Formats: sequence, C-alpha cells, structure tokens
Amino acid sequence: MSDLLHQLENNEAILLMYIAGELPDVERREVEQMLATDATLRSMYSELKSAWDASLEGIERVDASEAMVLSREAAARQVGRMVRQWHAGRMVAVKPAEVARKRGGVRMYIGMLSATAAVVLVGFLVWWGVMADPVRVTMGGNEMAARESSARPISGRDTESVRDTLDAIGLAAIVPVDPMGFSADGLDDVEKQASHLADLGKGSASTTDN
Amino acid sequence: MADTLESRVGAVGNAEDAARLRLVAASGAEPGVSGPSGGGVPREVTDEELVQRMRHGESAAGETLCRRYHQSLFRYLQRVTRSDGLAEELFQQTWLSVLEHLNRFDPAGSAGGFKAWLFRIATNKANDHWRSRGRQKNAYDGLRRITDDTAPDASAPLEGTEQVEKLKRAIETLPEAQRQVLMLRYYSGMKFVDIAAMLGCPLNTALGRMHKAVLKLKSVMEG
Repeated sequence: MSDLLHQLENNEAILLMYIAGELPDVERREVEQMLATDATLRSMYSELKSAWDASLEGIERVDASEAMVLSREAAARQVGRMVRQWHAGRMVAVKPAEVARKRGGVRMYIGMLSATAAVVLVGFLVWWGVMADPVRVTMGGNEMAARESSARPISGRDTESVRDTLDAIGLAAIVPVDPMGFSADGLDDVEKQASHLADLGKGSASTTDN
Repeated sequence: MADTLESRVGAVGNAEDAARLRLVAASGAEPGVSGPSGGGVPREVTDEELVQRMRHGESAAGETLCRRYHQSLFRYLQRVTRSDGLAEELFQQTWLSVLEHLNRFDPAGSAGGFKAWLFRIATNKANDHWRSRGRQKNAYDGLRRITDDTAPDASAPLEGTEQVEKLKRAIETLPEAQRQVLMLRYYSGMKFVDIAAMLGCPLNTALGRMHKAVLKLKSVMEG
C-alpha cells in the first residue's frame, strides 16, 4: 500500500478520498483493485457514494430553494467600490511618504553644506591664528624681529583686529575673540594699570632721592 | 447591510470602464472572460491575472473575481453562519480582508489558488466572529430552535418543500466542525488535504467529519 493510503486510518477515509477524486493515479488504481477483490469494501463504497451524492444533491436543492439575499451584480459593485477606495487610499498613503523622503534629502543636503562651511571656517581661523602668532611667523627666520615681536606685550589692538575680521564675516557673536577669556578692553585696563604702577614707582623713587 | 457597506466604502470614481470592457466578453460571454485570443476563441482570464490587475487598482478585475465566486462564497457563509445578515456582513469583511492582504497573496505558495485563499479568509472571518460572540451565538441558537419549532415560515410554499426544509434543518444542526468540512468541500471544491490544513486538523479528522456529515444528511433525505 502506498504512502498516502498508509496515512489514512480506515477504509472510510480511503473511500472518501477515492470518491472525491483526490488520490493520485497509482493509489487510485490500487483502490480499484481492492474494490474488485473485496466485496465488503465494495458494499461500503456503494453506501458511502450514495451518501456523498445525496448530500451534495441535498445542498444543491436547499440552495435552489433560497433566493440570494445579495445579488451578484450588487456584490460586484460593492467590491468594485472597495477596490477603488482601497487603491485611492494607497495612493494617498504613498504621497506623504514620498514628500517626507524628499524633505529628508533636502535637509541632509543643507546639513552637509553647513558642516562643510563650519570646517572651512574653523580651518581659516586656525590658519589666521597661526599667521598672527609672532613666534611661529619668525621661526627659522629673523630672530631679532621675533624677539621684538614676542617682547611686545599683547595689546587691545590685536584682539580688536580679530574682532574686526569676525565682524566682517558675520561671526563676531559666535566665536570668542580670545580663548583665554580676555577682552580687548580688559587688556587696555591691564596696560593702564601697569603704566600707572610704573608712574607710581617713578614717583616714589624721586621722593626717596629727594 | 448594503447601505452600511456603501457608506463605508463610498464611491471613489469610475475611471475603469475601459478595463471593464476588456474583462467582459463582447459577445455575451460570462463576465471574467476576456476578448478573443488567438483564433477568436475567448480566453478566460485567470484569477491570478485578475489579482494582478486588482493590485494596480482595476476595480473591474475585483468585480469579475467577485462575480466568479459570489454564489459559492455567499452560500458557504450562509450555511456556516446560518444567518443571511451575518453572511452578508462576513462576505463584505472577507473582500475587505482580501484587499488588505492582496499584496501577500502568492499564487505559487497558496494551494488551491485564489479561490482557496478566498475561502480561507472567509473561514477565518467566520471563526473570528464565533470566537468573539460565543455567548451570543449560544443564546441565538437556543432562540432559533424555539422559533423554528413553534413558528414555521408562513410564506413558504407547502408542497415540495418539506424535504428541503428537513434538509436545511439537518445541515444547520450538523455539528459546526462537520458542517464546515462539508461546506468547504462543496462550495470551495478544496481538497481534503487543504481543508485539513486550513482548519488545523489531521487529514483523517477532516475525513471523519465529512463521513459523519454525509451519512447524517443521507439519513435525513431517506427518512
């Protein structure tokens, strides 16, 4: 007996599969051979076949006796409307997603531009800072000039010039003029206090001399 | 019920008359049969082709599919639910679900093709309904038995209908599991192997239910 027939628990199951025409050709022939040789199985088959036919006929008669509540055309129209609405709904759902994707692309582009500009600016400021550093400018060159430059105290004018540059490129409000926190005015104050102390020193020296 | 659906679905437009014309045979053939192909022999559009068209929003394809399976699907739901109103509601829910899951339908991976898939959805809808309304169903069944016994349908003709009424009642009183297998086999034409897989039971169980159901109906018809 083949695999499928083996799976079926009893003769009723085998015969139902046979009547329903769901057995492959090999198994079908096998059942036919069994029916040809087994009278009991043949009788069982006749009974089951008549019950099968009677049931299907019975359902058919019940169907024929009842009008369809929902006509075929009405149902088709309903389904047609469903399809149209479903499709329109899909289109509506797709469009915002596309717009969002495009917006996201523009935002990413602007972000990349901003990042590039920031990098260029920082690079410029670093370059400017290096060029303005008197020690580095004179490295390997004019030692005297270097000494003179380094000896010169930082004045408010230096920071003023940085501020002027930042003003020119519109970043004065963002970038600190002096990373140490000194402002140009603060440096001027220090200069004034130093000259005042020097004057006091001179004054006390002349008093002592006197 | 139709009004309910109309308000739910609404009209979106009717831009597919041309598509409808393509689907309906020019010479009075069944809807779902396209125009001539080859030597003038009408070629029936397959379910899979219609599904594909429906995916692109062709409402005429949906209408054709609906016409094709309207009777078997509606009758199946009628027999399983034993209620015209509920059958109509589940019919609509089934088609809505078809659209909802249309992109998941794979003709190659779905045994029995679109029809089996359609009936699977309908069966799930019916089962979901019974699960969610189990208590109401029991109450309804009890009420129905009482009203059926005490108040026969006065509008029904008396001659020739007695046996049909008995049959109908015999079908309705079949245990739900037996009725489902019998109706699925009759209306969907699905194989028992697929029915068993759909209902989540062994093949022998499905066959056993079918066996009992047909014997019972036969005894009613003979009685």
